[in-house]
Amino acid sequence: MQRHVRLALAIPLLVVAASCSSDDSSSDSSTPASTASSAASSDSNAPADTSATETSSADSGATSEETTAASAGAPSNDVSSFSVSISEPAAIDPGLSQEVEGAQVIRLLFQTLVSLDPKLAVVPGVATDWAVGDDGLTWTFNLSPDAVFSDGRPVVADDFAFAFARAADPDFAAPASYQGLPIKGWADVSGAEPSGAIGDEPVAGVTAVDDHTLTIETEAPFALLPKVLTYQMFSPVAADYVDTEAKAAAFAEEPIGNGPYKMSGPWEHNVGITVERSDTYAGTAGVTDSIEFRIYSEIATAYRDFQAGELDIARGLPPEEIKDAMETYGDRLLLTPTGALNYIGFPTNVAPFDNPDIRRALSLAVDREAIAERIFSSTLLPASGVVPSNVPGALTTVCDACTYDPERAKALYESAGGIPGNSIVLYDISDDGQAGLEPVINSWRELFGLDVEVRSFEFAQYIEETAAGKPVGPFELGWVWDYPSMYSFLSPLFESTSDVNNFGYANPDFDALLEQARTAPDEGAGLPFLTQAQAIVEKDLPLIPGTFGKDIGVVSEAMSNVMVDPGALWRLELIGVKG
Amino acid sequence: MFNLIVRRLCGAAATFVMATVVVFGAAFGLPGDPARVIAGRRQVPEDTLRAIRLRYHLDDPLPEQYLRWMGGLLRGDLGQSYASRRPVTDILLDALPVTVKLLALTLVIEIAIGATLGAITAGRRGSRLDNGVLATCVLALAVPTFVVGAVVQDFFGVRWKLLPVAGTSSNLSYLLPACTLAVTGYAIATRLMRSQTLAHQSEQHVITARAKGLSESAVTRRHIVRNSLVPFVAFIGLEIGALASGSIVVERIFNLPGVGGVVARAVSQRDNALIIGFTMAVIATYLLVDLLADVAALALDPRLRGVE
Amino acid sequence: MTGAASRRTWVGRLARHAGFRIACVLLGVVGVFAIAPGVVASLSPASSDPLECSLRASDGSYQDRMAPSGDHWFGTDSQGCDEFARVVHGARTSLQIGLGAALLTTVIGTVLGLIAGWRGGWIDAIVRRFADVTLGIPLVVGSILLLSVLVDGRRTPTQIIVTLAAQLWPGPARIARSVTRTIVQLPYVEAARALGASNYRIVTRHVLPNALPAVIAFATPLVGLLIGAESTLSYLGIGLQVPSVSWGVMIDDAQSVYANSPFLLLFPGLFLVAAIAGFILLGDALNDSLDVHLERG
Repeated sequence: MQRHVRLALAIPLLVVAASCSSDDSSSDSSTPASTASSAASSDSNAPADTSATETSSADSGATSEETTAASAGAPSNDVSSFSVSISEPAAIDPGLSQEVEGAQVIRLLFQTLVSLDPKLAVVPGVATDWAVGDDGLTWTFNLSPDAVFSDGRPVVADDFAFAFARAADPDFAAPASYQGLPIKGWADVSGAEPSGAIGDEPVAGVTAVDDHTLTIETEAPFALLPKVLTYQMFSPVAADYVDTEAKAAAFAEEPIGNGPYKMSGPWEHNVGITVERSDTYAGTAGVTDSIEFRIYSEIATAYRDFQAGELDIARGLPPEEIKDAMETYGDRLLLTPTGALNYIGFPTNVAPFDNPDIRRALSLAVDREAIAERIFSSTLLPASGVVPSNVPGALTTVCDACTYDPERAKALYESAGGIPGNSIVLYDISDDGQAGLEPVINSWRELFGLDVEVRSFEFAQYIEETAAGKPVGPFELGWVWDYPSMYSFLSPLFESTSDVNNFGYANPDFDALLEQARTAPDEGAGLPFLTQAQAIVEKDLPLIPGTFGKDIGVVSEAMSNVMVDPGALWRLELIGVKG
Repeated sequence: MFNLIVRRLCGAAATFVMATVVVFGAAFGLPGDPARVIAGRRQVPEDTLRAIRLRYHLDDPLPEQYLRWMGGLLRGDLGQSYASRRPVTDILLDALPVTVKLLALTLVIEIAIGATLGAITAGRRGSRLDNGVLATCVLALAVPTFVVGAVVQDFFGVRWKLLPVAGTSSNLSYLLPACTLAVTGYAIATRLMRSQTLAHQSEQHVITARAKGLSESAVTRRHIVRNSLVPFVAFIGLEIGALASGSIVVERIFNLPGVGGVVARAVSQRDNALIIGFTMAVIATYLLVDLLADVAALALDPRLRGVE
Repeated sequence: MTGAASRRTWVGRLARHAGFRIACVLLGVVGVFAIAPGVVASLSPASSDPLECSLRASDGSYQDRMAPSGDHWFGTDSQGCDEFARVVHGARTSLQIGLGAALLTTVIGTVLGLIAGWRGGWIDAIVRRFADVTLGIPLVVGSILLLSVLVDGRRTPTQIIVTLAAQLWPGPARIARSVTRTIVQLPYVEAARALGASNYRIVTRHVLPNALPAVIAFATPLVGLLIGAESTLSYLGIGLQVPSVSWGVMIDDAQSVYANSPFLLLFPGLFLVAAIAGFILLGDALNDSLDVHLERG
């Protein structure tokens, strides 16, 4: 009889199976550990004056305020602190990190050889000064004798040499390992067979001359090396912090760094990470005593906590809340343009997309302003070209075919002979929504009578489906710089030798200009070549620029000197808490 | 009866092994290089991917990877998540209490309400109450969980501010998600209880009991309800399997840090190690509960022991 | 009881069944939408093309979502499309998937169940194990795996139908197996076998006719449930995709703007519920009228 009971049940249970299934994408499971307000978090009666600034403005430093004791609402201590939302980082071990959530924490815990100031210029870090030899290959960094890890151990050149060897090692398989490729000998290490031990194979081009002198040799002249070295993966790691598997695992949960802050305890996954000011840090001390990162899986939830006064800084806002938030919070809502480009790329070696006029016509039919404003509530900027206009040296004018001009689009499309069969395949990443793509499809359909067949894939498979030489139609993708330079856009995306140039794009003039930028005496001298190179790409238009990224966040009234750099990093060490 | 249980246990084990082959093969047979998952949501050069493939033995033949994974499973090691490099077991165990709480509460709600209403309406067949309850059952089956969730969240959480909208800050936070998840099960449970009660009302032993002069309530209690509960045990068995996947939708709507959210992220990141670990855990639970339900049914109803 | 008499009885029972009448009304409306969406959509003054959408008004200014009005009966959505036209056209997609997937599920399940029940032994064991594994894998995880393996990134109704059927066949398979097992043991079937009747003859004469009422009673509500399954997949972002017009896709889009524009969730949601409820009621009515004796089977 039991079997028949199940038969009878089978029908209704399908409902459960059907309507209760799993989840797609953007949400991961996590929630704040406690919703208790941090000691000094916004007192709702706090004075209304706030010095949060629109960080996109040129002079964004604003007034640095002194650290003050905790607010009246705090329990009986005088430790200042604030809370900030992040999503669960992929890693907070600098060697394993490759995304902004982890970087947000790592930047407080570690200091690299050279750093970026809030305007993204290279400034001293652990190295007090540096110079490149006449051959343009050998860089010498002089390390500060005062630099120490948070456990009191001095930072020496060997710690960098080890960290580099670790990041290059295939046994470690650092996701951002490729960033070290300009360094001599890096590829030999990363391309070798795994030996089983991590960091055992030194990178030939990296030499600890003495405790306070490090030389780095590059494969070829590379004026941008200091900028590359600001990446979190190049933070110092002492070999004995990670010399056993158990220690390495503990380090991944509670790294020991040399930055202005140190971990207050291990990382509580999906709950939070708390850091406190490090007493051993020799540089400018962090302003606030303690910073609590609260981990949220949904930005909407973080925003609700912020609205309830339980979170001081909410990074990210649901687009549909932006309008209300602007009215409610005024300049406490921060919108900062970042180095991100969303685009629709073309396989430029496949007909009819090998015809620049077809590419331009399709681009002219895209109503970027309306998409950014209506679909994304201004949380994205309409793209003016192939490099975000806030990147130093980038063209700020709107490129010729980057406007919305239906008439011209139609005329150009017809004169170029149109697309055979009036149908194309459009590739889409399945887990990040199609809201931005829909207006493009609608507009192509309306203007050109184009039938669009969408094929969507998960990201990993997508990257393979759209690798150079494979796609048969336009594909949606994005790019975020590795380091704040035009070079970090132009070289990987468009150079004919790049692994990640998906367009099959090759222009010798463009390649020559990039080579000139690399061999220039310094980054600044190479900039004009990059600007010229950008103009060439925008004429050829191997991609339709769609939107530029923006970082969005709101801060409570108690926060002062809030600062987001165009790398979308919140400069948390500078933020103060008003009493 | 002991032999029967042993036989069923062996069957469940065989099913489980078959499931590991199917799921493992499917996950790794997929297009899309897992090395890219580990590299993060970013396009990286071939060199980096090669290092990752070597580190995670992704180039090894599939049977070899499978045997390595099975070896780990026997030691209670489900491997390392690709996306976060944490042990899969740690990740699942972190999230498990939330999901277990949610599912337990859901089961209690749907069975308590369902069994009560089912028994009552069966006694008043064709009455206005009966028709009304049946109509709510059809409605409950028809409205998708995600619509219920959105509406319930809006009214109880946002508009009337009666209950927490999201998160797990207090035990009350589980009430809305559990009610949402219980809607479908409520309909199933009510309909099941009603039909079972009706079926048993006309059975010989019930009629005999009535004839013996037992009061109607005693008849209901001792004969009808008790016998109607047998299929309920099977219901719970199947329902837990269904709820485990149903919680994925609800956890997403209410931002609960449970297993559903973990697997949602794993799926979107193509984190094979985590997907396989989760799926195997669900299948194992499903088989185990199914087995327990069978045993419980045998214990409750001796007549079943002759079957099979 | 002769065949004709029993048919008259169940037809008569069905016609008097209250649930059946409600189901007829609900499915009638949805059916008309699905059969002639263009005609129904053209009743409203707005464009009857569900894909004719614009982010800007005719004067070039940005156009926000519009609440329901005389021009746009159900309002307009984030993309500037007429919601009424989309709801009407969505009916066809939903029914297409519901009916298609239910049919495929039933056929696969019945065939496998028949074979398993008829042959028994190791074939039966394998089918049952596969059914258990299939039931154990959550629908969404399974759907993602299948969609990635089966298709070339396309997510049209055909792909969704195959994906759903490949995971839901154990239901009808269990019914068909159980009916078959029972019938095989009936004296007259055993007699027919002994007399040398072919397998084909026994299956078509005795097994199928007996299994069919149960299978149909199972498959009817299944249509509704599959419509719901499609919407759930779409809601989770792994179902149909643009430019497909479906209620699930519409509800998914409506979620994020629910606070400001609840009508975008209300209208597709209402018709979705009506369609699913229609099939469930119809299934209940059939179940009662056909007098399916599963319990004794």
